[in-house]
Amino acid sequence: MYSVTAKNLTKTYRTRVKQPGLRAAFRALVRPEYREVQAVRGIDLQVEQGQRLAFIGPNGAGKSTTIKMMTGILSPTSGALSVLGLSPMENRRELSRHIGTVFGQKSQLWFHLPAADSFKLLGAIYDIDSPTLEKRTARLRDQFGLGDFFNTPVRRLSLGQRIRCEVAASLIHEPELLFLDEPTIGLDVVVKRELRERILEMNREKGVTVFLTSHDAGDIENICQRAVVIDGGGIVLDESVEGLRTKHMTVKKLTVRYAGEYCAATPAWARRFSCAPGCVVCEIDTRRIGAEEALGHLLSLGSVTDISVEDPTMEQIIASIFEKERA
Amino acid sequence: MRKYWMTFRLGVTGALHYRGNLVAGFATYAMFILVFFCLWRNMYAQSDMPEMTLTQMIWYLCITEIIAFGANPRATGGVVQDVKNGNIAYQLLRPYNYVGYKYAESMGPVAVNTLLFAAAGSILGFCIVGPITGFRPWTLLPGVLSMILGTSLLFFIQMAIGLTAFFIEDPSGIGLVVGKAISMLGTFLPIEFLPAGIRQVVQNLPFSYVTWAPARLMVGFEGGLFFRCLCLQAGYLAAFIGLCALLMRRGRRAIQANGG
Amino acid sequence: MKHKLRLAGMYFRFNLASILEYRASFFLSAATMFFNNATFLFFWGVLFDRMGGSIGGYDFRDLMFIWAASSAAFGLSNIVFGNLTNINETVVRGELDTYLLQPRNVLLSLLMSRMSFSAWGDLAYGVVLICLSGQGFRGILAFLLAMVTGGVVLSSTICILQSTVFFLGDASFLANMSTNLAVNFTTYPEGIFPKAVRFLLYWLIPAQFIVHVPLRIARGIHAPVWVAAQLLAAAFFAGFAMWFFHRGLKKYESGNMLVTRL
Repeated sequence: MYSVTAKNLTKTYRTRVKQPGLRAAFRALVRPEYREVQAVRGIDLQVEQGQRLAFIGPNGAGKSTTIKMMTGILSPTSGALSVLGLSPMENRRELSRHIGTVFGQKSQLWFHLPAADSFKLLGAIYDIDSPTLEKRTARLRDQFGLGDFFNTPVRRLSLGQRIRCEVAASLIHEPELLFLDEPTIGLDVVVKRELRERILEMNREKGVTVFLTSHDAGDIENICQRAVVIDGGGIVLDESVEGLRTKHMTVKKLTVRYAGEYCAATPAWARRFSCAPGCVVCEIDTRRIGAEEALGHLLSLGSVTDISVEDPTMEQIIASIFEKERA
Repeated sequence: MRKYWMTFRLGVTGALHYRGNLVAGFATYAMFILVFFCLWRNMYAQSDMPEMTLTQMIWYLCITEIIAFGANPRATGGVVQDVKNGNIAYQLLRPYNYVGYKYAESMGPVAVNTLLFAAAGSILGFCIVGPITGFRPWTLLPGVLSMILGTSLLFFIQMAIGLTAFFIEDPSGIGLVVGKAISMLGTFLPIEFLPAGIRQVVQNLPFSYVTWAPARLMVGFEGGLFFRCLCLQAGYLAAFIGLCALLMRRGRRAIQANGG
Repeated sequence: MKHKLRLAGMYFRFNLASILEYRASFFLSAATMFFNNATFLFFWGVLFDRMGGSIGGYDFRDLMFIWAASSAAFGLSNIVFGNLTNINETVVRGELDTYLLQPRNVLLSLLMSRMSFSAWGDLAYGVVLICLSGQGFRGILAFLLAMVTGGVVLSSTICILQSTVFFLGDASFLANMSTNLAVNFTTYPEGIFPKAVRFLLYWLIPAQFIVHVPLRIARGIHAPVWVAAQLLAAAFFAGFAMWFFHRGLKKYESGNMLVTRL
């Protein structure tokens, strides 16, 4: 059973071309020029029920357009699309009762009202009867730890508190499929981890299918099982997250600060190695040497004051994928 | 000077990008004038008006509405936002005069819109009432000069109101009252039509020198009136520029004291 | 229907709650709007004074009636449908998505999810003015009819003008002017217009069904016929506005107008 099935999904926009300059502006006043832009070109995708899928790619790759088509906001130019067995365009209202959406940049909560009120309004919007609504609200409030600020107007909440409310609100009608577009953007590490655990919990307990876009490699590693990478409107890689990790997320960056001045020649196990007075920055390939072992080497060099280990950024991972796809 | 000129040109280009809006703007403008035409034709049919002929009245309204539609810089809102969200602190760091920059920025669209609306207004005026009897074309020149002064005066009035946001919670109330004063004391009705007592006061206040002075000079030029209007417009313009400078200086001090 | 009413009631209640959140701003907006409307009385006072008390077949009391009806109709519309004047902006910014993701009528949710503060000033002005104008019982009833059914006609007109955004890509000038257009034609004596324009004011910018027809009812001229016409017109314009919006929404869904943001 598939939650999402897309065949040769395509979306073409017609855009007004704006030439720079004063004369062109006058000309466009009389005769505007148009150009066609293919935002999504022939995507084939099947997402199994209960699967946790990461949908990644650089900005402008067609991620948002694809999600908008899947949620019924935009109609495909051509191709077939079925979400939870429904056609998003024809059955948008029916579909909306079964999907939840969180767009990190856009809020579905009422800015000037407490989250508690937004939950009541959403209850009315989704036709949830009062006892059920109360039960679900209480559960989500406990699960997401909203108790302390549930009655504070949303505009006075911190970003982390607001996003927890957003995700909880998107679950009020118990959707079978959850679209998360950059849910963790701007959050601190603790809140991120908390949120990821909640999403996993929903997936485990209710079998909710998760469709996630993110620029945070940590989100993808910790939440998802499968990663689909798109670029220029088409799929360039469809791979398990495990595979992605072993093939493309192999670079780690270690930064070590020493008490005294220290410098050494590039060791054989490092990909890149740079020395500044009192500080070593090196990149390792985890297929060749474990982080622990590499750190061991670095620690033995002198008296250490600070250590950090960083994962590669999404941009680096994508760059690595493109490099290997081309090779 | 070059940076202000570039800013001005960018504004001009920006204003031309919205074709649909311009067309809709003309339509609304034309509709306003036509409604006023109906109103005044009806009233002129009922009784004589010694102050102006119907033709002069319609041209007068065409001109004041050009300023209200096209030449309105609507400067207050942007400035209030800049002050409230603290952007102005960064703007002050840049190597230009904030008020001067805003002036150049808003005069771009104002110039374009004024020209376009003037073209539309002229066609409209000729179609409805035809030329004014005894009109001397060279009197347009002093009228245009007065219009530039009037538009600039409007900008600096709006700017000064916007800058009071440094000191008061929400200047939009003042903005509204002043805006109303400008429309009621000259835009909808030449001040000659106001009761004598009110007119005596009004002709010494700045509000009528935004729309009334240029329109009045264009439809019926008088040398003495031109001189008087010019002095008052220049005087009030200088006064409001001074007020803006003063508010900026005080505002800057307020930022330095409170950290923005 | 029951669900619709429950949701509408919920929106209204929470919108009221937001007024309490921003009390100072609410009173300022409402008061400035009240003042704004009141200044026009000065303009008309000057004109009526000069013309010996009659312009285009209306006396000053008639003028007060149409001003009161127009303000109250506009006020009520923007209290209940607070997003009426934001349709263009919502669409241009792509914020319609939020409503498309809900299992509800997009237009109603969009319109009702906000309440205009200044509209309370309009409504208050209309009520105060009708009380000052010394109408009889029939006049008050006609005013209430204008407020509700005229409000429906006015909302529909603004909605149609704003919904042109779906076809134009950005209709901000038309949208900004939509209020002006609808309100300005409702605040002049009908008699100043030539016959042809008076006819257009039934259909193109339906000022007749916002203020002039109710005034005829207040004066007792063929009142039952005009009441029937007024009710039919309200139903017609509401239907047309909904059809037009959803026609435009189809274009939004097919994504042609997202171009301005690419």
